[in-house]
Amino acid sequence: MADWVGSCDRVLEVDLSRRTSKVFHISSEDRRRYLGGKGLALRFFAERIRPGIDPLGQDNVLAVFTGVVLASGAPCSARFSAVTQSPLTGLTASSSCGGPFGIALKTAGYEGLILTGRCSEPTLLEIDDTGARFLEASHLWGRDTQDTQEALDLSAKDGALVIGPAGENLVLFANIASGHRFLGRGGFGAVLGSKKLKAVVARGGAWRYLPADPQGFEKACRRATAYIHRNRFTGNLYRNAGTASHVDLCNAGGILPIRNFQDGCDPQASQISGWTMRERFGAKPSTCRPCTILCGHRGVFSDQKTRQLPEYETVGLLGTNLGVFDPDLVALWNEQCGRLGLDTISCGGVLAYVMEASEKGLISSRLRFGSPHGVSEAIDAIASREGLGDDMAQGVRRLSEKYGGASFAIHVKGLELPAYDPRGSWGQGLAYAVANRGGCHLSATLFPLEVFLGFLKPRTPKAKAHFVRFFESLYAAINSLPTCLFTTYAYLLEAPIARLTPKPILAWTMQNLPAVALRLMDLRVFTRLFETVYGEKLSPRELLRAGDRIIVLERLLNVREGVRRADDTLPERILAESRPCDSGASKPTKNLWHRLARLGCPEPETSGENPPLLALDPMLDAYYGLRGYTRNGIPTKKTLRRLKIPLGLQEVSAVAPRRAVREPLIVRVFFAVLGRALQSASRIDHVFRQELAPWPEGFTVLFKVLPFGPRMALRVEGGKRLRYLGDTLSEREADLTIGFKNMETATRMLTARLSTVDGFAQNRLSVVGDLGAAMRLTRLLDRIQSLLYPEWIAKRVVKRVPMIPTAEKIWKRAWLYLVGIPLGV
Amino acid sequence: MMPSYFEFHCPVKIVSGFKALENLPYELKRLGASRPLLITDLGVSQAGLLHVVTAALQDSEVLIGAVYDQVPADSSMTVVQEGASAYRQGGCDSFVALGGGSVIDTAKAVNILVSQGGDDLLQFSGADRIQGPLRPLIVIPTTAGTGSEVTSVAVIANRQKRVKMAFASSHLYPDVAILDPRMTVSLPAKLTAATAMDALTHAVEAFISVQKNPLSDAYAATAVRLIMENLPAVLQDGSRAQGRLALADAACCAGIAFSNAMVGMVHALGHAAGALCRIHHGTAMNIFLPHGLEYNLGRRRQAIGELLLPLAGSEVYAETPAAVRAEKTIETLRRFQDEVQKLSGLPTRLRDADVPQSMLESIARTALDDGALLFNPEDMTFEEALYVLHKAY
Repeated sequence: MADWVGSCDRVLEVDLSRRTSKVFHISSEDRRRYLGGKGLALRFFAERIRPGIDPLGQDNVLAVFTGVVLASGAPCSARFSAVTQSPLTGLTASSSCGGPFGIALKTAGYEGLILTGRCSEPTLLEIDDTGARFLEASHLWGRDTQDTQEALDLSAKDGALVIGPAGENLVLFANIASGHRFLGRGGFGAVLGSKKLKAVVARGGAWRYLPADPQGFEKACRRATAYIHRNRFTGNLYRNAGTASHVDLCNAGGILPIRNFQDGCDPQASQISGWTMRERFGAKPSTCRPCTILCGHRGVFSDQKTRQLPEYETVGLLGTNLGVFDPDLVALWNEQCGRLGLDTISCGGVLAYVMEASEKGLISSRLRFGSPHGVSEAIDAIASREGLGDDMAQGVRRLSEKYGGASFAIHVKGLELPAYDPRGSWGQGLAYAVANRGGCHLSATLFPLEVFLGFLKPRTPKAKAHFVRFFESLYAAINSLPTCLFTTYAYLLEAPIARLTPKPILAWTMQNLPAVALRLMDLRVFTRLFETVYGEKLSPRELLRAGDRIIVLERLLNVREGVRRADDTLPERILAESRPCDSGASKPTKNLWHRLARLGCPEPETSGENPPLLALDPMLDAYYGLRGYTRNGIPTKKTLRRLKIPLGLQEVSAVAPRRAVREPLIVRVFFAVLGRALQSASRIDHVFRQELAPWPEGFTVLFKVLPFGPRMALRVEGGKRLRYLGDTLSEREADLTIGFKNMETATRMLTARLSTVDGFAQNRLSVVGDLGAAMRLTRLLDRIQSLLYPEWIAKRVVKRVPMIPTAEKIWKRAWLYLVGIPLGV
Repeated sequence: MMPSYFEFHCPVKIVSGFKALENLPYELKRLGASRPLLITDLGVSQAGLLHVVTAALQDSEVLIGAVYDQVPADSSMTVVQEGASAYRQGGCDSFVALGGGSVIDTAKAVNILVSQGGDDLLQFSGADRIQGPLRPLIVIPTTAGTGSEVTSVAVIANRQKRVKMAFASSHLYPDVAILDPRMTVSLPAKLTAATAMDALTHAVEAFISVQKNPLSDAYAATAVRLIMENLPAVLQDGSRAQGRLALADAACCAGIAFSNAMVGMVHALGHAAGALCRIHHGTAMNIFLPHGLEYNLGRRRQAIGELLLPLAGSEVYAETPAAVRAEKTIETLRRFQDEVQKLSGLPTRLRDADVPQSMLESIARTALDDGALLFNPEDMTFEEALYVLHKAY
């Protein structure tokens, strides 16, 4: 046995076609920029992948990386990461897993493993400190993941990556198992299956890793452990009831998917929550090793057999989302999926889609919501790709392309959504929409802040982009240290600054000054763990910057595959439909304090019965701005230069337009002035009152610069007053959309260099909606311009300046400029 | 006067002249269509015009998938739905619309339904609500006035809500317009006069609108000249094919002019009067046109003066001093209207068109919400609209 300090910096690259392998070293520059784990896996993957390849062909690359913190003995340090081209989405996929393979690989003397090419027949790859060996594996082909691992004769220091029948049959959402943990999402199993690699075994234990600064490391670990024990999530909820403890929280918050996202809560949900399962089946820890949180459990089920208790996502997707509330069944299907090597989230999503399509008559199958009949058989059929199972194995996107029903195909970029309904957690919606691997909750998790902890208001676009960007970068960095994402709860929330600040102040700051709140987040536990193990400085700023770099590089690879803003969207059902659980949501009380607190910060209000539709576009705009992408979602050259992302990839951004800054800002300012002036004038001006009298209540007008420019919405409220909603509204709620065909027109019209009439007359505006309403709107615009501008300007923009008595004009103009516009009343 | 900016768009192929209709199979083939739905009204099919069309299709690859001939004078949602089911039952792949404005608008609306799917026309009402291209549409106008064959608009009545729904989208332009004198030769004198005055109003309003531009001006002036030269002769002898063709071309030119330059207050008042008092659109145009010119005299004196050239010819234009040309234009127009009234009985005052005086206020109120008013050079308030209506009474 030999010792390394920090990491060995060695990467094993195996060419499966030629049956050769080589070892290369990680440079200190790469280490600084990409840290390890996901970051380095992505960096070497990006170097080897060409755009447009077949993910199931021989050109695909699978990179599995451990990292500095792994195998150091720090809390929750078993996680390793993998990156490949997903056959399900056609885009870059990354995944993290806590199985024994990571530590085995690292103690075999390799920080990373890169697989290229393809074997010609079923093969077993065995890795130890001497190198890689190719073994014949036809005797293992066809066996499930647990059988295979038992047959591999693994000692306590060994670890394996294996696929089940689903991976062998190239089910597009097949996963890779290591122990009872999985590289779950995006079809890693199919990639291994396409390479005819049944298993990769790492025979570890040859090397040992010591921290560079043992005392500092010990101190950092003590602090980390204390935080984990103290935190409510890691120290209580997850430890005792697993992630399935989310069921009650999500049910109460209305984000638990019911029957293919048709509803957001159900009275039966508690039957299947983590606490109920703990009571019924007992819960013994069964987790990654080593782990301090202990979120995984095993229990003894009704048939007296011991099984893994299902995780929250499995409970949600294979349970409530199918209308099934029986934990025995869900655990059974969970075990079945695990043995076959199927991702339970995608599998549940596919089943729910087929159930709804069957009920709607698009597909003939006997699968129905709320009924367990045929589910187990369907899971088998998917893994073996028999009958309808062959189509189901292709995922929801391809199913809906074949059978129709795109409006209830719940996926983003082809990846089925996890079990948090974004309609009750808009920030999570943005996270899904922009996540590089598709509909994924681990790219950035906002639902705890919005629903569990109440730090952010769930149904507003405000501040969400800041948090999505922050958590994306933080999670990418955590996966590159690597350690467990759940430690974030403890390390962020238990740090003194978050723990000692009164919660209302914390919440207010996060909601209204997100940039400040994020700047104050204490990330030092993460950086100390890295520093003390590896012996090189890492500031919190560098940590986040590495995360930024990883996210943008991943985005760049996706852009090369054609991903644009139009792909950063959510399923039609999420964007357009409201749920039964939303109606009857109590209206917030409007006392003076609330009104004062709301001054100047518009947000969409509950109109009538239903809450507002998810406003994705404002969040996307803000997110692209923070990330340094163009408004169409392409990283700008400036961003790539700033993050020092390899030049070879810049070909995509050679044609990427730059991002305009000045004009959109002018337009936004004038939109705000105009919107608030219209709102205020509707309260004090008699002409406005007359004009507004025939407008229907709830009528919404949206001003927008095409194609992605700034937006401003106004709504007719009770008492026929206009309410300025700013850029907080889903475009789908607009009854009348006035689109400026370009930024130049918007700037000229708003700064009174082009009259409203000329704008319409010269076709510089696109009007979508009722033309009579547009006509009525122009009269309001004429009136407000006559009120706001002195006559010599008004003459230029209005056909005829109305006669307003001087006294009236002076007090109204003074009111608008001094009270109405600045205070928004 | 040059505008600082303008847009001009007309993607319609115009096939005009003697035996133009015989090109129908060729045009359908060119558009990849072989099974059109023929939309028309009972008047047209009773006049025997359908036979001319079917005769043009004989020995061709084209099969008429279905004929729908129940379009009333102003089309409604139910008519559109019937048309859509006729299209679907007949397994059609395109449209041939044979008739006046109502038939052509119906064909456009049915096209929206069958191309976009669904039964709910309401969701497509308004501007730019239609996504993607529609099925091929060939129109054969049987009146020479509305210009629907070259516009991107369709108007359909919603009887339940008692409103007229407008559909506007660049996808609504027909693909081909076939102007054949045989199609308009049987039109009675009064209807010929009304439709021609409708076309004249399109041209004149386009010529003075805020959106006027050099291209639309050329079309408008041509339309005015053709109507002035040919209408009296056709009213005297309805069988003059040459004159009929000239009027059809004029209506087409006027249509192109106004769909790019837009119309103004005459149409706003006319739409309102038509909706509330069921007065024929052409008649309303004839009544309001001189008043519209007088109202806009302040802002458009020069443009109105320029109209004298196509209206009265070069000699009168040259003889008239530039300062009074605008007044001369209005005078010439009034005299022309009197002549037309003598030849066809087309009324020039509201009282002669059976409009009760009590309706004037509601007409004025409705007119204010009409989109056309946006493109009128001069602004108009309720009181001013009422004043104009009283003058026209």
